[in-house]
Amino acid sequence: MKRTNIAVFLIILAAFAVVVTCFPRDPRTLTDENRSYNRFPELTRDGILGGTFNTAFEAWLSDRVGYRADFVAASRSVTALAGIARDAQVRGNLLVFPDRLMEIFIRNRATEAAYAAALTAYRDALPESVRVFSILAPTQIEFQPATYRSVADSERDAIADVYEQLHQYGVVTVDAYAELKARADEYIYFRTDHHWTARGAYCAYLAFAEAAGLNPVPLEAYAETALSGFHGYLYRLSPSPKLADAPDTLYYYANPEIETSPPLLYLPPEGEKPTYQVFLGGDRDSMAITTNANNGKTAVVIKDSYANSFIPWLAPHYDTIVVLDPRSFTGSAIDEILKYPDADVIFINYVLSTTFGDFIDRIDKIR
Amino acid sequence: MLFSSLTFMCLFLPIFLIIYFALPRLRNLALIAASLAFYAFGEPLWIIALIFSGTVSYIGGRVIEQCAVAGRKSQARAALVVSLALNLGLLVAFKYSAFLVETVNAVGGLSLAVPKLALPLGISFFTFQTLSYTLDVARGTVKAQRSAVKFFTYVTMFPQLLAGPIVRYADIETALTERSVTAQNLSDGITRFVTGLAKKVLLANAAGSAVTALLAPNLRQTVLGNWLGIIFYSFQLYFDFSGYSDMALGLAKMLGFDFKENFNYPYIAQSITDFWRRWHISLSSFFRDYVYIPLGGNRRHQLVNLLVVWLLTGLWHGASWNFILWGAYYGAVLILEKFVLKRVLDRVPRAVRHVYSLAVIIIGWAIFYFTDFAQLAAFFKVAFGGAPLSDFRAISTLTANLFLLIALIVAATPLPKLAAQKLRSHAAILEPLRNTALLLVCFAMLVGQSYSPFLYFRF
Repeated sequence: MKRTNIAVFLIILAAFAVVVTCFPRDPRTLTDENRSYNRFPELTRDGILGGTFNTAFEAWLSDRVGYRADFVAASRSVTALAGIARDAQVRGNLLVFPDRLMEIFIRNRATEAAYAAALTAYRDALPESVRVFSILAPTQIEFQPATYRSVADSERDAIADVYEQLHQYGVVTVDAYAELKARADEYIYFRTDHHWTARGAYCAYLAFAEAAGLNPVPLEAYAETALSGFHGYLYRLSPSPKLADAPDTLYYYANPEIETSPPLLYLPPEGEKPTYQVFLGGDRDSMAITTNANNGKTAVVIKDSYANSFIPWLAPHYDTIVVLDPRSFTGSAIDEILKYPDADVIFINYVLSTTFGDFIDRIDKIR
Repeated sequence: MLFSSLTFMCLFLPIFLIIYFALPRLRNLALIAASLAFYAFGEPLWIIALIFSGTVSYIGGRVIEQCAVAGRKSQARAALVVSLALNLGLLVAFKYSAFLVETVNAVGGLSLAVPKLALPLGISFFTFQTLSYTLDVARGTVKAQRSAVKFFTYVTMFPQLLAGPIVRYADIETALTERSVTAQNLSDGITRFVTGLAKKVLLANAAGSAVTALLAPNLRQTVLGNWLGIIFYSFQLYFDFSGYSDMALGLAKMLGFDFKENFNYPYIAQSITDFWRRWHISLSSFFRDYVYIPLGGNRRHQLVNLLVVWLLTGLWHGASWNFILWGAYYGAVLILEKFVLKRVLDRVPRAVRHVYSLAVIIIGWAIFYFTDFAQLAAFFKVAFGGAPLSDFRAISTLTANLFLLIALIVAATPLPKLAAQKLRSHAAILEPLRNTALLLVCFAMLVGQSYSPFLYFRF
C-alpha cells in the first residue's frame, strides 16, 4: 500500500499542476468577482525586491485554475460544515441573514468628533447667507430586532451626539432617522447592498424638505420603474447560493416634467444587470447639474454614495446642483460654494462615514 | 513561499521532486538550489542574510575546529566569539534594532531615528540553527563540516527554513552524506505532509476566521466572546505551527532526512512544565542546552537562570513588550510550579491538573495575541466580567463553529492518530484514500481563499 500512497500523491500533484497550467481560465471569475484577471506580475526591480512579486504571482496563478468558480463554491460548502447555520450569523463586520446582509456599525467617538469639527469648519468659513445642512443616514441594522442589533452600537445615539455638536455651531441637522424608522418595514434598504434604496433616500428627502422649508413633491408624481437582478457590494463580500437566486430589485423614479443636464439616471445597457451606478452614473469627483426648476437656487452637495440616490429628489428645488465627492475631488469646496452666495450646502453621508478617518480627513482637506 | 500555497503545491513541489529524484548524485546541490529559489521567491533581497549567516558559521566552524585540534584554545575561543557575535548581531540588527531604539527613545526622552529594516523571513530559525552548530563544534560534540555543499544543504534546507523546527546539525549529519529514500519513508513523509497541510488549511485557517469574528479591533466585546475568541486563537496557533512542523517533517522524510518531533500534543499537558516539554520542543531544548544549562541549570542560581531563559524565549517570539511579558509570565509560573505548586499538583486529580494547565496556557495566549497593552487590558477587563455576558455575535459565532470546535478539541489529542493506526491495520487502503480526500479539499480551500471581489462598489 506504500506504493499506492506514493503513486496517488504524485498523480494528484500532477493533476493540480495541470489544472493550474493547462486549462482555460474560468470566465466566471470576471463576473462573480467583478474584476479582470490578475495579470502575470511584471519583473520590476521594486516589485521583486519589495516582496510584492510572490503575492502577485500567487494571485495570477489562482486565477489560472481551471473551473475556479467550482472550487470556490466547494470551499464555501466545506466552510459551512463548521457548524450550525442559524437564522443569522456574524461574519467579520457583516450580519448575515439567509436573504439579506448588513454592515455592523461600531462607534468611534474620536472620528465622530473629527467629523463634526470638519463640518463646523465649513460653517465658520461661509457667510450667513449660505445655509449648511447635515444629513446622517442610519443603516438597516438599526431597524432590526434587538437580538441582532446587540452586535452593533446604536446609530441613533451616534447621530444624536454628532448632531448636538453640529447644532451648537449653526449647522442645520436633518432628522432622516425618524422618517426612515417610520417606514422601516418598507423596501428602503437593499438586501444585498449597504445603500438605501431610492425610496429610502426619499424618506431623507422628506426630512430635508422640512428642515429647509421646501414643499416636497409627492412620490405619486413620479413613475416607478423596476430593474431586477441587482446584486450589491455586500453580496460580493459574502455571496451565497440563496442570495444568488434572490437578487434585489432596483427601483428608480422619473418625472417627465423635470429636466436636467447631465441626466440623473443611467440605465444599464440592454441585457445587463443594474448596479447602484444607475443613480448619477456612480461616484465622480465633481458634477454640476442644471435643472429646469427655474428658481435661481443652488445646492452644493458634499457626499458619499448615499447621496447618489438622494440627489435626484432635489432636482425640482434647485436650478443648479453641484456635487463634490471628497474622495476624489481635489479643488477647493469653499471656492465652489462661494460662486453662489446664497447656496444651500448639504453634507450627506451614511453613519459609518463618521468612523472613516480617511474620509473625514478628505472632507477637511478639500475645504 | 508558504507550503500552503498554490505556487508551492502545484508548481514548486512537483518540479522539485522530479529533479531531486532524477539526479540521485546531485541531491544536495538540487536541494540547495531549490531552497535558495524557495527563499528568494518571498525574500529576494535578504537572501544575503541567509548566505551570510551560513558562510560565517561554515568558516567559523572550520577555524574553531582547526584551532582546537592545534591546541590554540584562545584562538578557538576568539573564533567562536566572532562567529556568535556576527550571527547574533545579524538577528539583533534585523529583528530588534527598531525595538531597542524605540525603547531608548521612550526611556531617555530622545528622538533617535528608528531603523526600518524588513525582517528577513525565517531569520530567527536559521540563525538559531547556525548558532547551535557553532556551539556544538566548539564543544566538540560534532565535527565541523568540511564540505560547503553539505553545510549549506543543512542551513538552507527549505522544509525547515521559514518556520522550523530548529534542526540540530548532529541529527542530520549522517544523512547529509548518505541517505536513502525508501518507499516506506516516502509514503510516511507524504502522509505526514498531507496531515500538516490539512491542519493548516482546514483547522488553523477556519479557527482564524472565528478569531477575527470575535477579537478583531473595534467590536463590542462580551465575556463569552472574549473567551471563545482566545480559545479559538489557542487552537489556531497550535494547528498553524504544528501543521507547519508536520509539513516540514513530512517533506524532510520524503527527501531522506529525519527531523525530531517539534510538538507532542501540548494541550493534553498536566502542568506548565509538561506543556513546555510538548510545545515547540526544538526551541525549548535549544534554550535548555545552550542557555539554561551553561548558566548553571539547576545547580547554581536556578531562579535567575529560569528568568533569563524565559525572558529570552519571550523576546525570541517578537520584538515587542508583550512577548517579553509573555515570557516573564511563563518564567513566573514555572518557578511557582517548581517550588510551590508541584506538591499540590501531584495530589489533585488529573482533570484538575489539566484544567489548571489549559487556563494558564490560554491566558498566556491572550498576552501573546495583543501587542498593544491597552487592548490587552481591555480584553482582560471584559473577560473577567466587565461587560455583558454574551451577545448575538458570540452566540452565533459559537453555533456557526460548533462542529469545528469539537474537531479542534479532538484533533489536539492523540485520538485521531490512534484511530488511524487501528483502522490502517485493518484496511491499508484508507491511507491513500484519506490523503486524496484531504488534498482535494485543501486545494479547493486554497483556491477559495483567493476569491477577491473588486471592491470599488464600497461606496
